[in-house]
Amino acid sequence: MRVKIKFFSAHRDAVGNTGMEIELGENTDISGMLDVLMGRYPELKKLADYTVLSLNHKYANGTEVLNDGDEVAVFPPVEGG
Amino acid sequence: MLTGRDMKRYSRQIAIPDFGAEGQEKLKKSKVVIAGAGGLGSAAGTYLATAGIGHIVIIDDDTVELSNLNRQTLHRDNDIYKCKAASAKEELSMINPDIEVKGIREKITEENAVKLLRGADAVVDCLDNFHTRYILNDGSITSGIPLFHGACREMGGQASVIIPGRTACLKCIFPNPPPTKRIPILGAVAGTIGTIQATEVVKFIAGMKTTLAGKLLLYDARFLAYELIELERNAQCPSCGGIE
Repeated sequence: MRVKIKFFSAHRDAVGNTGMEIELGENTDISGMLDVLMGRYPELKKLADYTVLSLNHKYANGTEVLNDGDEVAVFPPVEGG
Repeated sequence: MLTGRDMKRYSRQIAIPDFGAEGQEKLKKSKVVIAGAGGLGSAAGTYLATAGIGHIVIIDDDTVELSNLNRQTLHRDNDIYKCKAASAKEELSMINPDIEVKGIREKITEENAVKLLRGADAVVDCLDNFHTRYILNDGSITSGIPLFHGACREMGGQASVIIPGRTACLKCIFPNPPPTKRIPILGAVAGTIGTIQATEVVKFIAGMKTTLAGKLLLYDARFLAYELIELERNAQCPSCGGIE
């Protein structure tokens, strides 16, 4: 299955891209997808403690199983003011 | 009660069909606390003052530095070394002399948060660190006062409206803070996020639909990308879990 991923802020900087589509095995959950991304982009590991995810524009807790065509956003909290 | 001067001053927004004189009167009677007189607080404060929020309290314990002036539009060169709360109060009172503005030079702590928020209809999170943001979040939950969150970094930012007991709180959304460091920020980006916060406050107080309640807006100015995410409360949240 193919999943579309968008990156914001420090996560965008870590992958050097605003978005991409990746191929994943059936029944991969959103945490599994993040593991795949961390393997490809080791800089993402540094952000792991405060990485936040959404799936199809809804907040994700990490256990959601992905389906073909899903849209994921990966982002950190930002704190400046 | 709106005066003839009010009707004239605010005529262009009173003309908005679902806002009207009734919405304006609600703004006039309202009290809004702005936590932070920096980049976000400058934009939010400016538009809340121009909109006619009757009572504005702006809190900051810091002083103005030259490096603030790329984004903190309530302060000028001759305000350097001045207390930000006093400088912001002065500027907001000049922007709209028909409203009451109070500047408080105090650090927001677990001990004083609830007291500082007392009597407010809305609190605007214009802070620059998550430690104090979590304290403000808890204060807003304890007081039952809606929190209008905003934050920015480099050329992007985020905003959300938190209705205590009804929508996800800041700790539900971001259980872990990012590491604290000096963050680059483009002034116009802080202005965009602060303006979104002010707009949501005005909509909420005037009785219009608060579209960001229970949602998180992500904004990337570099690529003009947006994401609007529907949030869910975390039943196990250490700040708001179990609160109705």
